[in-house]
Amino acid sequence: MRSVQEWFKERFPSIIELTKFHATEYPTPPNLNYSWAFGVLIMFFFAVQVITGIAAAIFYKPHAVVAFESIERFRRYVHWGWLLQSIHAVAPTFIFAAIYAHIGRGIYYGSYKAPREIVWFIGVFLLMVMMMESFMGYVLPWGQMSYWAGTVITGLASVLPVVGGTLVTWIRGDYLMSDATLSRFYSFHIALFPLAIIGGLIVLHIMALHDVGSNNPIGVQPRKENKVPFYPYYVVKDFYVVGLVFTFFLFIIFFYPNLFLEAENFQKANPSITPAEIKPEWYFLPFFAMLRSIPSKLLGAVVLWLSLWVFLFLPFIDRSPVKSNRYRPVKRWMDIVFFVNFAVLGYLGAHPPMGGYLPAARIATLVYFGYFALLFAVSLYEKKPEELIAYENDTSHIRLHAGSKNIVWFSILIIALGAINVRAFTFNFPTMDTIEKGRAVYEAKGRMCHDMLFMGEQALLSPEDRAFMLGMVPPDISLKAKSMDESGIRVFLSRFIGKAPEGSKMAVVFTPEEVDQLAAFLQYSSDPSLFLRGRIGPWAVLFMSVFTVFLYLLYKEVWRLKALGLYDY
Amino acid sequence: MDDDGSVTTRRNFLTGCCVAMGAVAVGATAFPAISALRVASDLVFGKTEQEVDLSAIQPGEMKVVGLSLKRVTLIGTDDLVVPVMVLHRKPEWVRQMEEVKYGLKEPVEAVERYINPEWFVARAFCTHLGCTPNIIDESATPVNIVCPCHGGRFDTLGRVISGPPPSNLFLLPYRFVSENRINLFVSSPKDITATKVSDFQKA
Repeated sequence: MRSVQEWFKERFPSIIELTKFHATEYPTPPNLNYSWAFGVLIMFFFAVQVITGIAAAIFYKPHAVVAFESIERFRRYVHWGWLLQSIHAVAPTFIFAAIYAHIGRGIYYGSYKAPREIVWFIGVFLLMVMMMESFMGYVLPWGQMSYWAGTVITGLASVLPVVGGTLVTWIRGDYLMSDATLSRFYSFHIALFPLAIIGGLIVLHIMALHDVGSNNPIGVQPRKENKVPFYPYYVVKDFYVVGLVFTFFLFIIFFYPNLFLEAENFQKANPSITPAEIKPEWYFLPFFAMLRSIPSKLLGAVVLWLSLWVFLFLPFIDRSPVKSNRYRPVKRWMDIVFFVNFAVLGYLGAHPPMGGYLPAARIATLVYFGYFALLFAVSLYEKKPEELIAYENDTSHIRLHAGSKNIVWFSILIIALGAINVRAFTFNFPTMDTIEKGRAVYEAKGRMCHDMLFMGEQALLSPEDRAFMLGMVPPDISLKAKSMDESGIRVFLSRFIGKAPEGSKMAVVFTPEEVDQLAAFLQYSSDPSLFLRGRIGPWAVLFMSVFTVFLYLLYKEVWRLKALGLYDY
Repeated sequence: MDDDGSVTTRRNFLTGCCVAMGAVAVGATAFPAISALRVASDLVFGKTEQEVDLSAIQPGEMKVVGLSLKRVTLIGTDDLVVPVMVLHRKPEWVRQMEEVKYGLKEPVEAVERYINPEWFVARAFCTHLGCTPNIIDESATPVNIVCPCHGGRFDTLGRVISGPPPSNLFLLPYRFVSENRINLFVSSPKDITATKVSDFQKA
């Protein structure tokens, strides 16, 4: 190992220096708590997105006619496509959860204050481009929500005076959302944004951070001799956190892959029908709530825009000489209110702006912006406490973050992982027998009218005949269990037990057993990877659980030796 | 560094466990991503038959036809086209080949390369790097089929005479349905790498 390093040192010394400066020997404060692991977590999931995205881009077709089908083909006919596609669709949820936690950490501990303003600015821009990236990715499946979210968001640019209309057309590349828009979003989503913009900003974010050093829960910069090298101390700690979150991630992927996805988006885009309720992914809901609470098109867009850009001014708004909320009792409570308010906005964004929700959203919007005004006023009066001055005089008092209460967290971890695994092993998938019976029910009672094209089944009556007899062409039901949700499909079919409900065009009657069988068949047809998921899932989650426990033990052992002074790097 | 073995035993053990499990995790992650690059399961190499009319091909002429493997996927048709050469050999070419002595890279009996000596049917796929050998060089003795890409030379039964191709042109299953009609038939990827007519005549 040593000689390999020597060999490189003579030929490519800057790579050794770069690795030392940014990774192995980067001097890190010894007292960072778990909230400092979110940055690494974001990068980990970003890497996951790049890898699964490369696979998805091979099979995805950026064309309005086949985009929707190409993703189903990827899931059904490409080896492991169902897994790669699920991961690519669910990881943004984890990325945004980690981003919000990462930003929350920065706000709570004053990481945006001098000398880290540039790190903060780059971070705010990263948030914005990540939002654009995930928005464009959401348009690509060309489902109902893709189409209508795309229409609404690109339409936002029309509020600009004079150039608005031209700008919208320029963004869409067509007079309305169309194949042209899809094609450019595809290019931006897979090349421009992730590689050039996000990749570049991440590098700058880290470079800028490493020049000034990481903040810490006390907010006082330790002298170099009081810091610890990133390797191995924070490498083992970050690995543990990544392992823990990834375990949970795999559990979602294998057992609840549709939990964070919009059911409506499993219907192909239809430019003539707006869904009853347009709702973005959960991580945009707070901003969506603010946009909807303003009864003016222009002001709503301005508020939406300001809600992000205001973060750029945070370093100048906060005038306090103290960074960390440990020594800022007033700001600590303000931050808690701000975070809770953000969650409340998210809740309100998920509900239609009617009744009590609308005034509530307006109040929450005021609280959101009021926070910054109040922060400016409060911070003018804050003073540096004695305790911090003592820390500044002698940073060797900043102790390692390795408390004994971690054993409590560890117990909770073991119990949680155990619970996940028990849940995983007892997960209730339908049997092949029930599914086959369900297929027979479909053949007998549904195939006359309904296509199941993704299962290779065409309705017995031609579309013209069906339109003539019913006044409409009944929908393809291959993906119904996803677009209506598994429980939704049961509720719907149950209405036909015994006799058909009033006014329904479906002239069919089921027995309770047939409802079960048909629901199982529709669940299978919406996702034939069901059985493979069920077989592999428990073992994948179990393996990651055990791995995580070992990562935890390693992390604890490395830090224990450091605390005892028995072994040091 | 005070490397006291007794202090670091536990740590070294845990490091070993974590590295091993990490390697398994990386492998298990890489496997689906690499596996996705395999032929997708809807791209089948199905049973295909296609007739070729020989009557329009004059002696000394070669025709390259595409054998289309019909495939339907969720996003439309995605046919795989296998180029096939049909060469109408002049009687003097056949005679000349028996009279002139010349070296072969991969010797195969002439009778193993045709069903009817007047007709040579093979894949138009140079075994060097896959171009279509479509030039007939009548100035050479015996007459050559030449690949335009890198100058590989074959006799009129597709056997390598010179140049970079490592082996003779592949044959593919066909049968005569009448005097001047043949039927190409394939049912698996193995079929299109036949080297002798006996490879498919037995079946």
